[in-house]
Amino acid sequence: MSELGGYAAALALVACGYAAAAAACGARTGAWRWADSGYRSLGVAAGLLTVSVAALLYALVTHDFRVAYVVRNSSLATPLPYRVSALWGAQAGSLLFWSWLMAGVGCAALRRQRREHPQLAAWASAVLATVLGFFVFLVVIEQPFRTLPFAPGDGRGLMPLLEDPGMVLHPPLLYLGFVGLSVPYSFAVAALLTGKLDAGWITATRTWTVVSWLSLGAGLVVGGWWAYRTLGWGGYWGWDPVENAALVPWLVSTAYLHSAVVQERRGAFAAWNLALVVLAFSTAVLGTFLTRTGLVVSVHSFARSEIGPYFLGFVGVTLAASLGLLVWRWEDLRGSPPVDDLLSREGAFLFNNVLFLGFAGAVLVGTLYPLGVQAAGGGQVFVGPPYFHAVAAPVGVALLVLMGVAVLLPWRRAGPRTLARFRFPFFFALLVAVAAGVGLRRPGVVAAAAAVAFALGATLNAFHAAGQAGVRTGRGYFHGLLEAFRGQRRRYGGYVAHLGVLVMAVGVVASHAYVREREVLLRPGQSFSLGRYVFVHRGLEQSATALADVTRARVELHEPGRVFPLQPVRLFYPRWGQVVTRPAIRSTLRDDVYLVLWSFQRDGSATFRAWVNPMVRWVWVGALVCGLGAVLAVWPQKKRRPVLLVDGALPLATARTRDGYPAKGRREAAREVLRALRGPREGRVP
Amino acid sequence: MSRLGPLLLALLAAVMGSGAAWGSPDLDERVRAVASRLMCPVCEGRTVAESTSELAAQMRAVIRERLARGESEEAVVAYFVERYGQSVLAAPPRAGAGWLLWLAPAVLVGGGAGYVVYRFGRRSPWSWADDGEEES
Repeated sequence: MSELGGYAAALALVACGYAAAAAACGARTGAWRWADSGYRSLGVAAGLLTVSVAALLYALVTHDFRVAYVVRNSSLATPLPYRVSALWGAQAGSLLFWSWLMAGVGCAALRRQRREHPQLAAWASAVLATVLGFFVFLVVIEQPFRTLPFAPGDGRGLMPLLEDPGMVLHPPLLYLGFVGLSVPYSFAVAALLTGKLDAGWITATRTWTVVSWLSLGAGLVVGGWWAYRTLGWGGYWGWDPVENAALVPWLVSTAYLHSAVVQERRGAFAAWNLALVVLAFSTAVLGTFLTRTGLVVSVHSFARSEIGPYFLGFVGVTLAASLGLLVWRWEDLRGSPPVDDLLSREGAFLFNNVLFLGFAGAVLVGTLYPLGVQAAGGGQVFVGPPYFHAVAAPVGVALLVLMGVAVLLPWRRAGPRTLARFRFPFFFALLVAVAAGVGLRRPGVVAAAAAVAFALGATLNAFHAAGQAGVRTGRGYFHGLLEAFRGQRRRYGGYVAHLGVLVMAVGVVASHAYVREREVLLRPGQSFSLGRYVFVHRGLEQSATALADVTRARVELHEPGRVFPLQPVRLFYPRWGQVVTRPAIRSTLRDDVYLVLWSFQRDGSATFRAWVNPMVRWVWVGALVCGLGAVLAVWPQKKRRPVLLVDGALPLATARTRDGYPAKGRREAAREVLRALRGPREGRVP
Repeated sequence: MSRLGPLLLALLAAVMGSGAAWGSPDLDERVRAVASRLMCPVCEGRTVAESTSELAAQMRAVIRERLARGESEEAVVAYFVERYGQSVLAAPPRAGAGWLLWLAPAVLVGGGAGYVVYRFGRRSPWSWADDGEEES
């Protein structure tokens, strides 16, 4: 079975090579039979990779210890879900899994576009097949199916830290995010090659852009959640190079997600969006390269290997080819319509891009700086939290303010009437700033609080306007809100995502600025206090599982009026020589109590490290709301059949009454169309 | 707006006034601040504040002791740099080549914003007729 997997992967490489050549040839000459053949062999590659993945899964699930990968990443004692997740737990397997995902995503994305944009799709399949071919090549080099000369009786097991639901989810989500970015990238390159630089490629790939943005974001959040629950250092984000490597493409695709709206809506930013997509994919590949070759010092030291030079070559070729294409098409791209006025929503989107890209660039510089210093012979340096906090705090506050400004500004150009809308959010922010100034001690926190208040005020203002439109038409406030979601789901879904970001921002600021911690050595019966909490050590319990020696501390958490049991655990895995601490966490919306059993002695005394982290739960809740908002915004809509298309008028189904409220009945809608027809422009029925 | 002016000024004054009342952070916070400026020498990529190693715990104790003795945060950091070398710092100092790093964010964001303003910033005078289209 495992031999079959190896052969399938090798054949997939051949299929990718053929697919790239055939699709490119078809796209160049317009011989669609060749393009189709290329697309079909991409499908063949996907099938072969499925066989390969299935073979490795089968080997893992059935404990086939002839295979080195199975020995290294699972054991007889590994439960089934973690045997499955071992597929992406180490280098060779995760590269295979990654290639399989990319083949599947690529085929799914091309399936529909093949008919709607044949030439674009033909070039896109050539690009996808090339990229996929490279990753399959890495799989062949890494040999996930390499067998041992003899089969040991048991495997080494998955690294204990990785045996966690968070770790089952975190890597596939990130991979899906990275892989998904290859779809808009390949279509963008296709657009550059064909010279069809309208928004066609954007609409063709919008779903995949959002899917990969969502899953990158979800992967980052799940990773933070896992780190918080298992690593025992009281935090969820450590600015580790590997975390940064995933954050940078996420930031770039966030910028793209926003500016793509402008291109679809106003036809501006065409060149810019192409550059952004190229940048998002390139940073994703660069990030993978840094992660996979162990080039940067990181806690994610799971992958050190010999694929470095190939990968560096691939990064170089990707960047050079994409930049070359952009330069080659520069004259065609320059002609996109300019922004009339900076004080408009387009202007706000421009600044959004500046901030997100500046942030991404700063994170990238911080991540690569140690490499640069080493290359210059300067020895080892770190760039850690002090630098990244100094960047993230002001950029974050600026982004929050901009979030509010963008919602308040209209398209094209703001006049005095729209500027009046700034009043409520502004005074709300001022009020919060004063209250925060009195209650909190740090200027940075006060600035953040005011920014959150401003953005909140602006966003609520938008919802309020929709509700009032409902009142004006006599159908009621709530109905107006509902109609806003029904008629302009992308916009209001985006606002819901913004609200989620605001909730997250509150959590992030509070948990960073007001965290308290203590380390104490306690004999049983002794206690210590932290904030409004008192911890009482009640003794230790020892037990053993098949793999680990378990020490559990029984601690009572006293808070005013209540007692809560906490049981931090310390596990020692003799086979790995690894200690895993499972903190006891008691989480409320107000704060998290986070207790780690640090070390212990035979007499039952133990060293504890305790944190009180304010409002951490807001981070998870906010992330969830943000994700829901994004899903709401992009969930495929049933295509509305245009009833009557008239130049200068709106199709019936999207007709609006004078105050911007979607027209309800057919008769009312028809009246709107007629009104538009009689408008300044002469209507012509095509 | 003319009636709002004094109110605004009063609010601003209140903000400033409360700013003056901000106290200095307590010892726990200062220990944490110093610890997150230092890298744990024995573990990969974790600061002393975050690290779960024995050495980091000892370093935190030393930081606490020295700060309690009245040493400044800078002096404590300098003490560790003297013992472990520059590589103990969690971020390069703002000096020499370090400026390449520390100025990068300002250059990137500032340069980007400057370019946007330069390229799109000219606008014709306002008129009451302005007010762009709403929505969708």
